[in-house]
Amino acid sequence: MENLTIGLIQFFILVAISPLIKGFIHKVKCYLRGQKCASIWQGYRDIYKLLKKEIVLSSDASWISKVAPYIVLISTLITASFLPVFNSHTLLSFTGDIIAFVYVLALGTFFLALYGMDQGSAFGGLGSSREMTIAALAEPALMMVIFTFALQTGTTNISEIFAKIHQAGFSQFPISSVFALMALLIIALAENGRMPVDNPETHLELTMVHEAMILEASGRDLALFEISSWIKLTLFLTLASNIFVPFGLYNETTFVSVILGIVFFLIKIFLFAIPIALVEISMAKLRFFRVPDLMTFGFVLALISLVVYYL
Amino acid sequence: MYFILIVSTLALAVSIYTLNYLEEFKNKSLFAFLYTSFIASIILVVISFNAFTFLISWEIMSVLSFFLVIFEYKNEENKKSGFIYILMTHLGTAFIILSFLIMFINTGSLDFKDWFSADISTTAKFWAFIFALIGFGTKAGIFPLHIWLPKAHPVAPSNVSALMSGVMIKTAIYMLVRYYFEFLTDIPWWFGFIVLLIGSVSALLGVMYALSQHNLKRLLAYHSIENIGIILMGIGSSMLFVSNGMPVSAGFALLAALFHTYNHALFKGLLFLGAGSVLFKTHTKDMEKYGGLIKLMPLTSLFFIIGSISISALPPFNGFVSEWFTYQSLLLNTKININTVQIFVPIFASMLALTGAFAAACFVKVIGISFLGHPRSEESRNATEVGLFMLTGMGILAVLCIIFGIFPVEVAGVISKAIEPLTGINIANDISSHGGFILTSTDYHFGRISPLGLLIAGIIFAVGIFVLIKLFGNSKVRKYETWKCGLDEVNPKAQYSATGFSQPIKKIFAVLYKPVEKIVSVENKLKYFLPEKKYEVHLSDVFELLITKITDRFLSFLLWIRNIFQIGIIHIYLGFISLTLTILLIYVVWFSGGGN
Repeated sequence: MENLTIGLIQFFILVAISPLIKGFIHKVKCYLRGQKCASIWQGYRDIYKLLKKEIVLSSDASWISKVAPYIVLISTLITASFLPVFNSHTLLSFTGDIIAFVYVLALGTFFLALYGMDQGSAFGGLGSSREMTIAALAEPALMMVIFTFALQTGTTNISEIFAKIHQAGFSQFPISSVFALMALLIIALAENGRMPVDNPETHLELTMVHEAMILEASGRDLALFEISSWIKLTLFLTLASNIFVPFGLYNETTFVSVILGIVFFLIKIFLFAIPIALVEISMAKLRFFRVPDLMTFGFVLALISLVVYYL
Repeated sequence: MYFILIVSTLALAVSIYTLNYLEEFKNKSLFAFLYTSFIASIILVVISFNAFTFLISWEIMSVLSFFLVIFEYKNEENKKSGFIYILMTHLGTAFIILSFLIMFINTGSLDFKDWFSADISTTAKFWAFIFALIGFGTKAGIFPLHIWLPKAHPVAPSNVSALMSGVMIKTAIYMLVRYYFEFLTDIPWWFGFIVLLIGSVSALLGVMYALSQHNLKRLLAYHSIENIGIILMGIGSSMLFVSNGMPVSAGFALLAALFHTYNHALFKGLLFLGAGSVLFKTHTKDMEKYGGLIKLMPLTSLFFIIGSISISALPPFNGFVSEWFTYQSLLLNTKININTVQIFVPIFASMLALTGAFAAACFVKVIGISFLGHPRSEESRNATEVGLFMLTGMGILAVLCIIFGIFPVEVAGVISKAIEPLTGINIANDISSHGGFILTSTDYHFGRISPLGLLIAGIIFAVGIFVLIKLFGNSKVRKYETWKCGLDEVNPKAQYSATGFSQPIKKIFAVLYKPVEKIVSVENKLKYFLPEKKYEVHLSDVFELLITKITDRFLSFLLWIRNIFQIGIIHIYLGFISLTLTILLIYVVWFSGGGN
């Protein structure tokens, strides 16, 4: 019962803070640019507003358009319930390991791309094509990072990877971890459609990847898509922060330590969100055909991380 | 036995499908004869117990499938493809015979029973291994011996393509498994490594060529190459374990390969039947002419989408389970204490990840272009749902895809019985826990998934979201046309095209495709005022070009030799004859002791 409660708390934390993290990144960017900015709570207001609006559905749309937003959100939620925040007892740690984590997320991407093509609009097709290309190119590097951690800890179960890393501390394979972190940053930027790969702030044809696919979405469909993309970003940040900063009150069940664990997690995740904002204000978007270079770079970093582990 | 199960499952579904599909052909009785004999010959191949009967039934199978490929023989392209097919198959058979001969010379028997753990030298083993790999590899379609596959599959009738891709090429896998696990034992580790390497290269290149196709059936044919690659990865990793004395892991990796074999038969059969239904109604294989079929053929589209998700290895369907097994066995491979293996196996795993992602991209393209959006041509606008038997055939396979994905433990139990004689250990209990609810790696702590649990969680979340939206959201829906950036013209051609969809990947990996792009002005149109131009792009398979080049060189070499001898002057021919006679006489007198 206690484990179930802890699992539920972790799941709700991940879902609840995701709009906050999005707002936080935006706020940091505004601050660095010297702009006045929307409130950090804007994400919650957006979701509420979109839920209250009616849907405008294309008359060319089929049932794919109706189910895709749900499947995208469900796949994100399932992966969210794999991921430990401050305790290894997650809701679904028994049903899937880190390979399933990647593939369940891929199911969401698959339906998102189908949604893009469903209305017969050229924009959607363009977005789907680019999204699938980028996702495909990011995949080998991601799998390489996963393999490195699976080898270091001798398991592919996310909860056990986290538990073992927290036991052993950061010092076990420091160089390998640094390279893996760099690779994971690049992957996270690509998978979440962040700056050098895709610009989440514009609706121009030249920069559109993620935004192009959901161009036709409106009302609650758009709300579901938005919240899933925010949760996905939070998932990657949690993964990175819990693997690379393995300190803090982990796996303790007294009430005070749970509260402290949550606070510590929040500090960690906000620290990890800052680099994304920094990259976004300091770099221009890459030309689309330069993205493979970036992805290859990520793969090479992951490979170095693996080789260093064996040395 | 296990392979017979695969053959029978697919044959049943395809046969039901065929009942409706037959309307396509003029000569129905001939087709029925060829078709049933083809299925029988596949079974014969699997149950043959010595090399001689095996070769005979193998040839029967090849020839019958050749006749089925060229069944619509009036089309020139079909005959050409059929010719390449029969040529490559016989090349493969030649290598198989070579390999059998090596085994025969070394064991003195043609019976497969006497070949078990044959006690032969390492050199002989090496050659038997290589020849078997080339011979059966040709049939299975590994790179670079695959060139017949993307030619023969598209021109064959769709139900035959389903059988050829689903089970015929699996007979090659069946024999490879027997060869490498029963006949050749005590193999060095790099045998397995070679198979693993070939498997991963086939998988990656297969899917990349598939991505560039817009002929639906050719695309599926390239995906067969990809899946054979994934199966070979499982076999290779299992061989690595065998040569390092780890029977439990070997059983696990072989389970991955055989599970994927079954899954591939199911979803590839389903996809070919789906493609056949679309073809049946639209009479074109060109994806650029499809579109909007999801509304006209709802059930076919649903089955096709199920097949696509399975082949893209996404949960909760069957492809995911077998690919998860493959990943886990690759991970276990790193426990083998050989540096080359430890460094390269993760690279192979990343190649598998890339393969899976490309497969997903490819099927987003297929579904998006063929089934979603508006119809792009008159033919697809007039398409209607296919007949009941065709739907039943596809439905059986689709349901099996789901069942295999959700209850993999039961299936794995059956397979582990099949592999028990090969590795000596039954691993059925090592891979499941909690009464079959959770599927684990051979070591419980190493990794575990529960497809059923995932599905239940998904349903709970779906209900949760639905209730939340009903409570807080606005559930009004207004229908309106798609936003087209201010254009008011409804032009189906303005939709994204299949060529456009895969263009980024074509451009990134241009080395593999050697694209030739050109812009052609349409004739009888003014050049500057309202010009009408066509964009053409031609992609090619680099390996096909390479093989064509090599055979070309070889042929011209033969012709050059012929040129020396065949001069056309009768004196010189007479000279050759007397020269030959003299040499033979000298040979007989001097070397064979005077002719007696």
